[in-house]
Amino acid sequence: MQNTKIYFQQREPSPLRQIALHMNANPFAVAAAYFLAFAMLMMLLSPLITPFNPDEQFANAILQPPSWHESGEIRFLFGTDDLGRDLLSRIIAGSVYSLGYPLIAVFFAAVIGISIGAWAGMSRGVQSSTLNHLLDVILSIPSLLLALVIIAILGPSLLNVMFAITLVLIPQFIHSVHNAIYDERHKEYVTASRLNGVNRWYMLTRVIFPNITSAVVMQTTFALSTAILDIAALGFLGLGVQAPAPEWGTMLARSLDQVYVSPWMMVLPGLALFLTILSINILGDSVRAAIAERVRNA
Amino acid sequence: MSKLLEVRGISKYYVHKDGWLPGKRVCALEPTSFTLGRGETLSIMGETGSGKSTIAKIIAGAERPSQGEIFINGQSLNLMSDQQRCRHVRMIFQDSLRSLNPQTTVGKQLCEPLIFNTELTPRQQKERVHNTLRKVGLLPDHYDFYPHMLSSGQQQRVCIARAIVLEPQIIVADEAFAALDPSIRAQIINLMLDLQQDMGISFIFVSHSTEIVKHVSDKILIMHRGKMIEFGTTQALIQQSEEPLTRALLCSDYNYKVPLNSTTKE
Repeated sequence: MQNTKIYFQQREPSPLRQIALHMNANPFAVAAAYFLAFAMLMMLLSPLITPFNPDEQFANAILQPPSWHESGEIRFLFGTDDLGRDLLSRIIAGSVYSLGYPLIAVFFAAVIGISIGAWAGMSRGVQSSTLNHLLDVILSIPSLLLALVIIAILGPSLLNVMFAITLVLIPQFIHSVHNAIYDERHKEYVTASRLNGVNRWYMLTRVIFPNITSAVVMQTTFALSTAILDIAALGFLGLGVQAPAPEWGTMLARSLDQVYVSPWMMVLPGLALFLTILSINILGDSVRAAIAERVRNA
Repeated sequence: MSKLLEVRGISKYYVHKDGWLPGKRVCALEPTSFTLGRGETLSIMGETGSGKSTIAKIIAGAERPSQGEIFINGQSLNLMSDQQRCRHVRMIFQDSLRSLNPQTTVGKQLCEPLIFNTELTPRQQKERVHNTLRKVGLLPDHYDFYPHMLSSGQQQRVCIARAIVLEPQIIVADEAFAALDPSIRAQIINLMLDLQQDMGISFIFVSHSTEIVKHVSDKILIMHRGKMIEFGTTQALIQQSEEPLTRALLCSDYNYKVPLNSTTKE
């Protein structure tokens, strides 16, 4: 085989690669990315890696402290709760509710919101305005309150919570995508592409979309942290995920009674929630910083 | 000589809307007519804000005229879609970096007009882009480059490549050389003159620079405050021009004060 790399060649990285390099230079972003990857992996493998069944009750090990405590047992790494259920298994299994379901909600909100936003951004006049402000009424109510209203009507269940959160996130996606496309649409390269005779679909997907990915990524991370927080908050209030399911917010609510007796029951799920949301926010923020940096250097 | 391009009374008005009141009409270009033959070069000169860029944009299709019609080989451009138009007229923008998509490689951008206007297979498209890159003095290696990796002169060459890749009959260059340093400017002008000889393209230049205009153009059109005040061959305008503005623009040694009233013949 012919070796074409005889000379050292300094290649300037592509725009996406540049963002990745900027992110790599920021240790917090790297740590957040690794933590998030770890959490995702934990969520996907949760049925396989939980040491015990999360609902299994050990009558002889009620309120066992974590294993690093003097009276802890290595069998229950994070200790057990007041019903003798293994806390580690519950936290691992809970990631499906606290991370997986928000991901699904954000996915649906993103698909619907980006489609409507793109449609609004590519059209003009009354049509654009109508589409852009289609769901604006929702923005006037805080997301948690709207979720409460929907649950008050439909009754508390995970499905209704998902429905409420998806609905709340859609208008934000519509606005950010519409605004991003609107900003791009009047730039010269779009005119140049129009004079190339491209059709509207190609214009949207190949010409404009690569330039608004940053806005979309930022909006998605923002939506994801909102969704996680809302599902946990509703679980905490007893309106979302129902009691035996190991959702992190529900676990926090249950631990309130015994917070002085067994603080680990509150601290450990709270820590999981805190770290997940923190790492998502750090990641979103550093993506934004990396993009700003690239734009400044260009 | 056959008339390739015929511009009949095109004009452009902008409406400045302020609140609910009906807007004020602002005239950017008063009705203007001229013709251009095959292989000829027309230069449009004038002061800033005199409507010369507007003419260029209207001919290239970046803006629609308020009135008037443009004919190419007797066919009206107003009835054509952007897709049909770009097979005849292509434009080179003023700012080359801004007119290139920052997130797409040069090669993909050059393929774009080929996808929509030719029946070529992806392989033939790539070959044609490689040839075009060679024509404008770049390498086929530049196919995979992103616009920000190139120098400004190379970016300008990419823009020229994009204009000629469809082998159009007319290329409109809107102050395409203003931002370049003299040596690169000379290179690119020579390149465009070579291309004109090879491919028989008609050029429309919008330019400030007297030297370039004198060097390249067959005809000159002088604009002032949205009006065409003079149109003629380069020779005629340089030797015997009636308008003081024309002499001021073409002969920089001519001592002249820019008139503040609307036309120069008052």
